[in-house]
Amino acid sequence: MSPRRLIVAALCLIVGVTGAGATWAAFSSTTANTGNSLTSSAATPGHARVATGTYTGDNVDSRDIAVAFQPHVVIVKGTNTQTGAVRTVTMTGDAAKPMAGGTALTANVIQGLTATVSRSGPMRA
Amino acid sequence: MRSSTPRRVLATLLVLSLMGAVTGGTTLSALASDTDNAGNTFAAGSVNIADNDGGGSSPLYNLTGKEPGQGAQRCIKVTYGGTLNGEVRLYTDSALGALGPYTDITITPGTQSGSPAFASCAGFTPDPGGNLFSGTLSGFRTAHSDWATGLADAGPGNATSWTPGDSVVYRYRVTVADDDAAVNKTTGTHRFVWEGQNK
Repeated sequence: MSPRRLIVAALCLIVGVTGAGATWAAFSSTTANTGNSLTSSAATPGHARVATGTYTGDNVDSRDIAVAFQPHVVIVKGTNTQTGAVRTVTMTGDAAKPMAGGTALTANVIQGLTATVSRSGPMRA
Repeated sequence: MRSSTPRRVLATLLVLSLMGAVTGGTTLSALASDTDNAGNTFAAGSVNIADNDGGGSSPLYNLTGKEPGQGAQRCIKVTYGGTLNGEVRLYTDSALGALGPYTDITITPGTQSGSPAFASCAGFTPDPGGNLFSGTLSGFRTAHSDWATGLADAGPGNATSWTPGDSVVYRYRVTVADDDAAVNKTTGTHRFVWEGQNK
């Protein structure tokens, strides 16, 4: 085989090998959507979680009282003769309901409920 | 001192032999012939796939505090580019948290009218083929974790392959399963990958 034919044969072999590789591997491209996450509630309906505890008031407004889950109802009652108060997750604004008589919604008692914190203001005297 | 006749004869023969050799070589070269084929080119095709999430910085969903049955519906548009027809497969290669088995997910291919912002599903119309996947997130991860096991989508209108310029909108519906074991768990962050290869 002449040198020229050898060179041509070698080139054919190279092209053949390259072509075979491309057929098997193919070209590829990817795109992705990242950072997805889903977190469930700490309590499921029909399976209520209840927690009790105490804290000592310091007469400072807008204090966070942490609980281990997102509460739907919070009741705060002093250890003295003060009237207790209740707030539900559906209540809006700075409002809580004193648990005595026909008292109107009252501000600055239980100010709001968040995912992991029930915010309770100082109990009124 | 003059050379002898035999020496002259030998010298003459040597010169003639050398001339003959040179002349012979020249004669052989003159008999060669060339031809060529010019202008050959070889250019590779390309495959390119993209989505409309702004470079991957915006997740389809990032939800907290969800109760059974709660979740979200989000859409993402995937566009196939390049020059070669190909196949597109969907998979997730992320490790999942404990909520994975209690996350219900439905992925539906379709089209979307107008130009809604990512990841709105306004104007979404499912393809006739129905859902691409319906099951738990963990089930999806187990079955489709790379290209080899990726969930193949036939392409727009349930075609046989994707052609450059094709696009599909995928609607994701994710909800927390109605199972007591789902309480207070997370899937962790995970990604969805669309990979295109020519075929």
